[in-house]
Amino acid sequence: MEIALFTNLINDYTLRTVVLGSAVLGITAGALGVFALLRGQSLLGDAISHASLPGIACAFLLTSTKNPAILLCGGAIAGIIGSACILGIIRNTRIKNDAALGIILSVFFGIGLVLLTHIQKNGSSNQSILNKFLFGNASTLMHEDLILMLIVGGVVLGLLTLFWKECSLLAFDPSYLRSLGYPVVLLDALLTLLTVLSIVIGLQTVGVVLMSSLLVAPAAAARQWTKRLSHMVILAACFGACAGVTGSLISSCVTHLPTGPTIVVVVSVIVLISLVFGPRRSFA
Amino acid sequence: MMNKAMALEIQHLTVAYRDTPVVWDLSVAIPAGKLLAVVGPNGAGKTTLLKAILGLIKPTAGTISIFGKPVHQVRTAIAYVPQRMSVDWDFPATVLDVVLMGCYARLGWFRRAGALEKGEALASLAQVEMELFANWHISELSGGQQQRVFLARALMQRAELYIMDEPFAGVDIVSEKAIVQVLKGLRAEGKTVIVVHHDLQTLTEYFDWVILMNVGTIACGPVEQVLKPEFMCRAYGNRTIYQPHQ
Repeated sequence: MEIALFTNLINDYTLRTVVLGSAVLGITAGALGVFALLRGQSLLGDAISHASLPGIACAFLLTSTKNPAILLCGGAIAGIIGSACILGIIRNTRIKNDAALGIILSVFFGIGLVLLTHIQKNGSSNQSILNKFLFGNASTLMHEDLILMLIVGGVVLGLLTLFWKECSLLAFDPSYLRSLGYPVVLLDALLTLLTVLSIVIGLQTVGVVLMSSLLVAPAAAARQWTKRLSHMVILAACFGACAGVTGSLISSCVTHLPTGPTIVVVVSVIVLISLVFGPRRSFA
Repeated sequence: MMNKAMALEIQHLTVAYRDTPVVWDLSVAIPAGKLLAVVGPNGAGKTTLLKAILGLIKPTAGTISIFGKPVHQVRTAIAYVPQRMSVDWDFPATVLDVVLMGCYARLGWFRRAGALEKGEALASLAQVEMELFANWHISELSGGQQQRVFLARALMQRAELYIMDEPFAGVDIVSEKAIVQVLKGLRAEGKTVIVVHHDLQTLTEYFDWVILMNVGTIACGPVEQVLKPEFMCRAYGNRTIYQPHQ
């Protein structure tokens, strides 16, 4: 069985796409997730991924296209609008962080589900491709999807490396960063944008409902093992890749097993092991 | 020339959060080279004053000039030491990582700290007697040690004006003495240090100049001129909080 899987991996074009794609999204989400976790914005990722659903549906309604690049572009725009709404609510009203996240997450996701149902009722031939954005389906990944993921993932990680020093101080002590003269609002927007992008490239594979777990769980696991930020980011990226690849492989081998939930199960095991055995573990 | 001698000049400063004024019509002038305490009861607007000086919050009215210039023109001359509890000390960083942040302004965009900066960081740590802790994780430090790490980070900036928010809050006596020694050393080099302070008993021992405030300025000047019962009563109400030494 293992040998069969291994030869498949080398020869099977589809399987190779699936594995590479899941690895890319696991690495990107894992790395960016560290910053979301350390800035106390784990739930922002959840709100962004849920908020992207109406964007995907709108992009489909407007263009009737199957092209994932365009659909994900719609998702990214909706995700950015969603996070801007959250920040706007926190800054300008007396509503607190958690309530703002809850409101935007459910409102946007609700609108997304309404649009999705509307599309399905109208019975367009392309409608079924939208379903995979709910719980994810790695086996539908195409070569073009992989190229897109590689480009976006590369840009996200490249920018993170370029702005490493600024982003790490932003996560640790934003008011000090501002006192040094750095434009904190811009850097904050940049880091949020990178988070949105790392979420969006995972939507096809993991789905909007569970994508945030791939953002937060590898970071939470990595935190149990190290005391350096750089090590934590690398470790979280490895955990993310490991969970992504294992989950996609399992769901590709078993029929009717959605990829998102499978990946989440794998990543949960990694978190559990880290909590129990990590040298800086939370359990005494 | 006169402006050069003034480290900080504030005229009619008012800062309000929504409709509540926290600092009201405050005016002070601080000569350079002073070790200055900002003193006042809780809610007097001390932290808000510091943040306004640093340009972290926008004043509703009034002007602030540092060495005769607006804040954004003299940023590199100012080092800020935030309240210790304003950050998460469980953040994955070592003592050296935190101190190195002090050279980020000098490095500018994209450049990373190298061997030169690491040497400087170790020297700053030695100044606060923390060089043996360079590779410790910051969560393993005591409150006083954390405060000294923050001070070492500010020293890295080689600034002219140091602004510190409650550096002695929750700090052990060893750290307090070490910090005071560094502050006096800075004054000896002609630097200006502004510190939000709570302990009125140590005021004369540590500082030579005081801003006494409660939303507005009550008094500003050398310690012995400000520490008078009539000013203290106006700041703290009619309770006997401070008894002058015999």
